Amino acid sequence: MAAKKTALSDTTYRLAAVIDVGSTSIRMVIAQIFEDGRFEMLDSLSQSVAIGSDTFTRGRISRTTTEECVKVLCNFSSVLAEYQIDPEKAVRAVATSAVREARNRDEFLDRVYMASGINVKVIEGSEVNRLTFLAIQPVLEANPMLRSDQLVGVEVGGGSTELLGLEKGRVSFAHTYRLGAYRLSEAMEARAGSAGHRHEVLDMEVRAGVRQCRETIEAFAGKTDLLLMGSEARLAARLSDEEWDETTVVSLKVRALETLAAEVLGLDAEQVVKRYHLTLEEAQTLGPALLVYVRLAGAFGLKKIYVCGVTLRDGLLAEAASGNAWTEDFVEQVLSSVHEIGRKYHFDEAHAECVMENALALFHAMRDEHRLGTRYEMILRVAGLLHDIGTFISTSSHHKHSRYLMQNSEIFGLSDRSIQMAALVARYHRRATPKPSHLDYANLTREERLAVNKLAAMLRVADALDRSHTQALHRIHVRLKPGQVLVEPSRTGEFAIEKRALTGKGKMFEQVYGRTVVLRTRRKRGSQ
Amino acid sequence: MAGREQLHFFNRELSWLSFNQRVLEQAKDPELPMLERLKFLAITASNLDEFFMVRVGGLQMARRAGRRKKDPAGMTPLMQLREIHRRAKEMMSDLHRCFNEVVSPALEAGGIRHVSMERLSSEQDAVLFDLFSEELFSVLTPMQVSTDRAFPLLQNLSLYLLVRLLKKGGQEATDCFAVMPLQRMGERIVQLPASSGFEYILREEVVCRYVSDWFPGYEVLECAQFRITRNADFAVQEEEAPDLLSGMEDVLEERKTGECIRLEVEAGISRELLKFLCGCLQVESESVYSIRGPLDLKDFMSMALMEGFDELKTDAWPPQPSPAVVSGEPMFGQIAQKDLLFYHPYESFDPVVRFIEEAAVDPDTLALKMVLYRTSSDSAIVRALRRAAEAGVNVTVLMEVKARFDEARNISWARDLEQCGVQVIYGVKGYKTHAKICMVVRREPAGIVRYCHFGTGNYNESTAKLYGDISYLTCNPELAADASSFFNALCGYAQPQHLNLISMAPIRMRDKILELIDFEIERANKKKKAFIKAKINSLVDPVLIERLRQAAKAGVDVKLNVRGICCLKPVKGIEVTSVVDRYLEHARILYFCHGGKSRVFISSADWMPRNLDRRLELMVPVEDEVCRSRLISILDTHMADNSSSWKLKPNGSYEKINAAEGRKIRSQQSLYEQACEAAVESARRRRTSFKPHRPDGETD
Repeated sequence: MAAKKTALSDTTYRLAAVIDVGSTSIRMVIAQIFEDGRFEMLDSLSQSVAIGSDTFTRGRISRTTTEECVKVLCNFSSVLAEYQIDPEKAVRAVATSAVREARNRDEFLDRVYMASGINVKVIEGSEVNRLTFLAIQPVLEANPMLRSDQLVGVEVGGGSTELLGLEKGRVSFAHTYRLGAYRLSEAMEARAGSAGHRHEVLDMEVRAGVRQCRETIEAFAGKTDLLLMGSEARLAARLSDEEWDETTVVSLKVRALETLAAEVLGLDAEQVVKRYHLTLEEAQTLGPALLVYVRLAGAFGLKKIYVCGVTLRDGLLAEAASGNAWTEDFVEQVLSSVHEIGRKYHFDEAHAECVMENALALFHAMRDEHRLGTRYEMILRVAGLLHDIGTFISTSSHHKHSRYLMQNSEIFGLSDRSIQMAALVARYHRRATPKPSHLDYANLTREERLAVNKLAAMLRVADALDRSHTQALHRIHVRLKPGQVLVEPSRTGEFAIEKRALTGKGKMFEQVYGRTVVLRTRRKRGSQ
Repeated sequence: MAGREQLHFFNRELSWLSFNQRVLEQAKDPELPMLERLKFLAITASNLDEFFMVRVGGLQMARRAGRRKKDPAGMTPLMQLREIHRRAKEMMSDLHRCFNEVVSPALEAGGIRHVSMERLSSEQDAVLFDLFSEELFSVLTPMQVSTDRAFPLLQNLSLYLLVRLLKKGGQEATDCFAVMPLQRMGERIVQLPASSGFEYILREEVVCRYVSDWFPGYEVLECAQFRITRNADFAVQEEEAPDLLSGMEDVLEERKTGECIRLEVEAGISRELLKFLCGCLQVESESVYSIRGPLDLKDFMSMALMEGFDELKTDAWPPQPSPAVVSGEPMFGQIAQKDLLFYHPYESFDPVVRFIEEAAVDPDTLALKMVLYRTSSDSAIVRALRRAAEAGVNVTVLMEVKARFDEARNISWARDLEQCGVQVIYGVKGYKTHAKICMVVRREPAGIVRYCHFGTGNYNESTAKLYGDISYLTCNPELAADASSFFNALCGYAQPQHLNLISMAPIRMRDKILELIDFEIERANKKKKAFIKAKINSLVDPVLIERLRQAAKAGVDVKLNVRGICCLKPVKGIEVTSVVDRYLEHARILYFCHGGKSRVFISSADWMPRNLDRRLELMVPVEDEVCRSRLISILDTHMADNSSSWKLKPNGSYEKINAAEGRKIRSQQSLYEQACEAAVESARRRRTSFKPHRPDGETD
């Protein structure tokens, strides 16, 4: 017996679970993750709850619904116990818009944690998009036909619609819209009048929402494909192909989808429950969600769309399996999306990249002093690339324009908090240094304020190093000497403008790190 | 409409009676030894008891409520009742005639003698007097009864003696009556001292002999035995006859004591006594069954099973070890190597028990889950579950407390298991859980592996020796994932998920079967080969019957082996046979041609509305090549039976299939012989070798 037990400690896999508290249901997947990052699902559980219905009509989650959720999560907890999975260590539980937007979300989360031991974290739309991106990677790999010019992944949720744009597999945009199946269904139900009238209202709402989506996506010359995710899309796919097992990608005719949407909207919720074997919660959102998909396809002028069985849980699992969210590829995807934003505001791409790289060189050299991790490195990169986009509005005070443009951009892979910090770092790349009277800055935690200071100081130096916008000081070497940071260019030159700029813009660096930045130029050979 | 339907369906009650008649025919088979024939008499009688309680009871209620809705065969409850009584009466007299005129005399010749009172030896006489004075007299208490006072509550299916008395020396000449219970204690068959063989007398005969001793001061004018069958209780009716009883729950509530729906009386009863009894019990004359010879032949089962008299019994067919299993090697490793399939009772149930026992003591077992429907009294499986829970394994058991007539027993198991730390679920609200499934979640070095047992029979080691059932052991990850989802749904942890391979009733099983039939129809329409072979216990579901008829019409070759009720009227292209033999045919195997791709399933469900709509059942595909071929071969063997098989004719009667010429095939015997040969063959292949113990603890 004892021998067997030790044999088990040599296992080459671990068990993990992910839980997704959505607007119509709570779902859990249990998987085994192997050393090489592969994972295999063992169990998949789903229980419907009406969180969305509470949040999107009354703004808060009712007591009854809360207790229902507690019961579901306690049940899930029993399943975790069967697999001997520790809820503190090997479970990632997230909640999306229905919990996020509830006024009593903290109360809700506390109650759930207390009763079930499962710590549910609220995630934002951008996080959802990031997870979706992770989730669809294997799908993109297995289906070359999806590597079209532009692929838009769409998931219509209860409270919001997430769009993830990919150009030849690279993220080009990630947007979240307040266009949700529950919101739509509630809007429709709230209207008096005949069924026909209510459908008109619904269609108008959907069209308006879809128009907004379409407008934020830049006109694209090449071919666009839509890849649908979400339970309603999966149901539509299963209805058209009984054998579909959700592991592959299927294509659906938009017309068939439209017929189905009309059919569903023609029935009342109870009939939908019966005909499609759904729960009442699912039945309420089915029609509106399908209609959004149909209208989106229409807006892109498509005759067919694709559906895949990927869910948020796949993304969560992929993340759990990779161990580190900031993989090289992922960073590249984030940067690709940042470049897209830069281009939108006509940034000087060469300058932006030069500043970013020099800032990174400083970041790496100063690692022992600033002690900031990967997340902050990413924030610095984003700030470096976008620090000047405010010039799109006006060159005067452009650092301030940069801040709000960034703050209102959706940057793929970055949480709202991270974007806010990146925007502040960009804001402080010139002129005033951070002050307690700057409200956004003051609202950060002490740790975050310090991080902004550290990053902005480096960004200022990096910006000064390309003052001439000629990228003359490309690929610098940074060395630390007592009381100094020595910047060594990779080629010879005078760099007079940069030196002058440095005297002004290096001051913050001195304040933060207690070191002066010295640009050591190498003279031309023989001109001693 | 009704007229057209009548052409397509048989009435299910009458079809059931036909099945019981086939069982009775076994008792008449001159080739069978006498105790075996006695056993079939007892089974026939016991089956009838259940049928009356459950089915006739329901119909009677429907009739009383004035329901005139016709069944798919076009019969109203009243029409059905009349026909049932007519046929049941024939069957009962047939049954008792067979006992009195054939089996009993033959047993006597074989040394099992019923002794009449007149021929008792003095020693035997003394034994009887002792029995009367020491036991019966003090235990049996007569109850005085009369038409003007409430009749005592009589026990369902128990024997009673009705006595007509006259007060001695009284002025009045009016009779009075008393009822004596005959079944309060001890064996009904009383063994008497005998110089050879087995001599017996029935307890009621002893009571009759001394009856006047219970009534001092009275003259016993006459006495007669009787037995009543009550409408079984509410829960049973709800489960068994909801088609008849929908909307009648209120009525049912009021009748929980259950009215008397059958009155069996000994044939010698006087008209006067019978009239009195019928009046008291409110029984109509059509429900009175007059019996010659002993009542309640069910009790003779103990005689059929008694020790000795081997020349009057069939040869023992001890279950054989499966050649696929290596004894002494852990089951997990063997299942991981290949899927295992057994056909019980030809093959032993032991590997299944061993699978659960090993899981219980294995430190790598994380969880063990199973559904228990009916289990045996001293069950090794229940013991193993208890041990597992005590060892800290997460054990979940769904104990179906609604299993008919086993409720009380199941509840006591459930309590017992709970105390050991097993998570017990007492069934699923609104459904009976009839699926036969067990899953072991095991942590292995390369990952979590889930081992499953799927079956067609219950986890009951006793019935596993009498019922023909399939066991399928596998760790196929897709089947395992389905099994896991099934348990999560069962425990209420999650809503039923979309399953990969398994079909589950009441959610999708009927649709899946229809799809499979439709595929055959499509193939037949294209003039391609198409067939359906199914072995089930009952075929009642009107939707499936209709679709099967369409299939036959389209040219699909439909062969059905339906042991019991079959409401489908055979037409061209559909052949229905029924095997009734030594073991109760219980396996459900479905085989679809599927364009030559052979889709084979085992299932816990019969094709009845109650199974497909109101029970949790599983239909499991068997895709492993070897196991699948085995199932096909089993199916073909039963279908080729020309010795213990009956063919359903379009008029609803069954005709015994006789091997015209050529080889006689008795499927159960062939299957048993195959099992024996396979066991011998495998033993030969595994040559004996000795493994000496070495001092260092290693074996060679």
